Amino acid sequence: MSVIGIDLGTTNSLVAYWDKDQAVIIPNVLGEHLTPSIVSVDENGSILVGRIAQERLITHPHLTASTFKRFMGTEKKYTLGQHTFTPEELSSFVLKSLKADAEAHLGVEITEAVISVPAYFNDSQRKATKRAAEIAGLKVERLISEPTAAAIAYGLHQEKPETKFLVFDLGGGTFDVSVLELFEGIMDVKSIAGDNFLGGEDFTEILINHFLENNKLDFETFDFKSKSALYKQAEACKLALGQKISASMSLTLQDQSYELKLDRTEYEKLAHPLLLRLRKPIERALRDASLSPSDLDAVILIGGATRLPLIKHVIGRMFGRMPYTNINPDETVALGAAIQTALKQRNQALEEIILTDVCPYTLGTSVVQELGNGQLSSGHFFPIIERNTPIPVSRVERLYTVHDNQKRLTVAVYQGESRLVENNIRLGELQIKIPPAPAGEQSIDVRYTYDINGILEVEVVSVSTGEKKRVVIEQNEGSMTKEQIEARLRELQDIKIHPRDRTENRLLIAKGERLYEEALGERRETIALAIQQFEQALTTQNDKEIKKATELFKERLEQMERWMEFS
Amino acid sequence: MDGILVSVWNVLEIEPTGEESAIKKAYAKKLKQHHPEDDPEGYQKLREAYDAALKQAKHIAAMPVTAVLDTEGEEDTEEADAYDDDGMWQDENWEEDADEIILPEIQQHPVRRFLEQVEELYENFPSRIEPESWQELLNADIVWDVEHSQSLKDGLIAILEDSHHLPRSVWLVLDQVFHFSSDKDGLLDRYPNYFVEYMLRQISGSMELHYDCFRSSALPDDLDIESYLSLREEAQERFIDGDLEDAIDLLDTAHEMFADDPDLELMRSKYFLAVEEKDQALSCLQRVIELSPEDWDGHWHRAQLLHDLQRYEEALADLEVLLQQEPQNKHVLSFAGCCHLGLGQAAETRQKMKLANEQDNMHIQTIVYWYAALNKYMYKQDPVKPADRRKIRLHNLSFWTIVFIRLSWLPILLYLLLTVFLDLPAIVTSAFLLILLWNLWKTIRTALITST
Repeated sequence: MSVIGIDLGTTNSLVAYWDKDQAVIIPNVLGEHLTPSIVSVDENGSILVGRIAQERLITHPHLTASTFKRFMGTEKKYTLGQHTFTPEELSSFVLKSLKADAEAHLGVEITEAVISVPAYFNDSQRKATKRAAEIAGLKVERLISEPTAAAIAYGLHQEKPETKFLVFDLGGGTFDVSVLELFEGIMDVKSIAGDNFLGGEDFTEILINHFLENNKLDFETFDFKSKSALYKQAEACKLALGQKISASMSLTLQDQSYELKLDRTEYEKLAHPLLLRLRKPIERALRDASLSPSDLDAVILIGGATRLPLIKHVIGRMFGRMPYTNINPDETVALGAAIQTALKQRNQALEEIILTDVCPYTLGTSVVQELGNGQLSSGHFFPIIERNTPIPVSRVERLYTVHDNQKRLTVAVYQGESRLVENNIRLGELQIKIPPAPAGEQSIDVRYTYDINGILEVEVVSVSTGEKKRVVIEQNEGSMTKEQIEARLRELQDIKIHPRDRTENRLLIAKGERLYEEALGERRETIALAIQQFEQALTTQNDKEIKKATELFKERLEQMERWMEFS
Repeated sequence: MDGILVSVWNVLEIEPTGEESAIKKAYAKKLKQHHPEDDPEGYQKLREAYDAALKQAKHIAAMPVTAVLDTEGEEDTEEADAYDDDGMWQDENWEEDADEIILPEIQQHPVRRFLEQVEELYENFPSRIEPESWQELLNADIVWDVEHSQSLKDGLIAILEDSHHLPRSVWLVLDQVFHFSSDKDGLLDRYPNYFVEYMLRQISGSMELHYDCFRSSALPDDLDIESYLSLREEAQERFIDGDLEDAIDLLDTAHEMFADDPDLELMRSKYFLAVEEKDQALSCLQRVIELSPEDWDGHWHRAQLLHDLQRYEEALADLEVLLQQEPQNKHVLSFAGCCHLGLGQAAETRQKMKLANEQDNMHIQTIVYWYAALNKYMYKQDPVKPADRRKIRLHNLSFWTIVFIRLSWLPILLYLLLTVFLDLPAIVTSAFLLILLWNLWKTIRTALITST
């Protein structure tokens, strides 16, 4: 039996394992560490994951889904060809592909995993992640917060016995800040804050909008392919601005080409509102941890977006020093997850690190409050577990009736920071019967228990009758019966996954198709011809010939790509 | 209290101490026995003890050795935690406050320097009403510095409390940098409520006063701009409170100081409208539009006033300006239709109403005017042939009869049934007749209203 650590990211995913005395990234079938979290369905209805799917974002956008992690735990549905998937089902395909890579690499069957999630993921998002793993045939040992995973990977190489640091995690779609302290073999998460709707993708989106605005184009009128092509241009431009002072974007629409050039200063101006949003979670995390920036020994950057010089610069301004960059922002989380698998098994090679985490949100219920004039006002948030309380934790509060002869009490479970429940997220509710009595005489004890996996259980006890009710907060599962879930699992099992051993060839064809879409005129014909020749070679079943054709085709594609970049 | 106190140190199995490292060591040792994975309850108890011990250690360390035992008891409960004997802030808050108190004394501290720059900018009226100058100032390194963000924000808000006459565009820049509007709860906890509300109002623009007039025209040399702005704002507040007489006094004083402010003229016109001095109001509105040719409120109110004065053509000209800005505004469209109606142009009315109705088919004004136009249109079809007219009357009569029966069928049925089985007293019959009469009156009244 072997356990793996998985970083299931918005844009890219990675898998790693603990190899005797260190954590190691497992390469995918293409030999790469990063597997794009993109899923596509091909003409025969089978599933493609990773780089191939990424190429197909442009050629077959309506059959391809990306950044679905942003919608984990929601009702959003993706229709790809004849299939319809939820975000967690799409995630399960990515997990399945990572599992297959690990099995091929390690030569054993993998049944368990530690999966990282953004610290700021709420209960339903965490549950959706767990379900995704189950669908992929993985038992989830533990969900670990991404910054905590990064901190473990970082802490392992620290010689100082005591260190306080801040993890700044700007991924594709989410932004998390965690303040941690490492002392006496304890990794203590002191506070977490974040913005669930801020990520590297937003820094791409502003370029798209800028392009549209400058060329007076309307994104809504674009077809799928132009949308994807523009997205790709913006992404490339964003990365280019990391290397060069200025960069450009171009797009061809109905034989008319549009261009946009911009330099770093302009980009910084565009990104200014986004950069300002980075500050609030940092301030809050530090405040909740009762620390000031000067107390920190390091600021650790993880998440691909932190590679942008723009972001690094702003972090330097915020903390008055350059952040610690001796780690790979893309791989650290997966490595941390792999270390966690070893810690979990109390591996000999590791000095024990005990991990203590906090609850990222305030959890509470809705109560009626008496106003000064004796009137009652409902809908006030009553916190039971405050945010950044160390977990596991269990807290109980006593609540009383407000009306005479009240027959039942409803405990609505909310999560959030606003004083009014209408601005917070409703997680569920519980009802309990109570004997009639004058207002204020009957009461209930409400107990919230938040476990180490970040899963909330609510128990209500009527003080006078001793009647008890409990619920594990589950948002979406309730809508499906057990039979329905099983039926759906069988359906998913029937969907073919593209064979792993043919991935490389499939990727080449997908890449060829993408280049065909992007090219014009004569070049198109050259590419079409090359694809045709390659496909012909594949049908010969002759290994030697296929290998030769592959090399040739690869070379041609690379040549093409270089041309297109310079044109 | 003593019991809790003792148990904190008992759980950690050490003597009370001010040394953090000793507490951490003890906690780490015990944590192995109460691992959060295996023993959640044990961990929670240990953790609470650890956090409490760290808090107490700060006080113990700050205290002379002999005093330790006497004061511990007081500090254990949460209430006592916040204050010490002198009523000074203790705890984390104390440190923050200390920051604020000490900072201003250090002349060259970057926060202090920044706040001075803010004051300087505010003193410079032409720059301070330009959002760009604030943008530039707020992009200073110190604004990004997380270490000083709280004291900087405190200092800035303290300045703004006295110096708040800024255009909305500047408030929006401030909001973009400090996220005031998304942190109402946090602001209310820390700053005076009235001022938090004021800032949020400025940001939302619900009571926006414009500053464009101070930009374009040369300001009179002797104008005391600060007191003018205060007067203008106070007048607006009085206005909203419905305090018209006070408002006009303030407006007149302000008007004497500076006469080229469209917002002020607009308020004056509203006053004159309220006291039914239409000519005065009209000349004020004329002035508003002279000063600010695109002004929405100016054109809108003038159109309404002109409509009341039955100067429909001129009203329509004003509305035309508005429709150029917002061709689909339902209020403007339906009001334009109303003006056409005044001119007796039924076809134009219907066309405008149709447009308005497309925007919002529940817009009540539109529906009312549309029907009015329809009726006028009908009457225009004269001469109606006598036979047709009879037919229409008959139709109308049968329609209203049905309406009447619909209203009264239940009492009639009940009454008939009862008379079959019972011998009814006179009072029931008269009550029944009363109901019928009442319904008849309602029907006739409705018929009269709709026919006009």
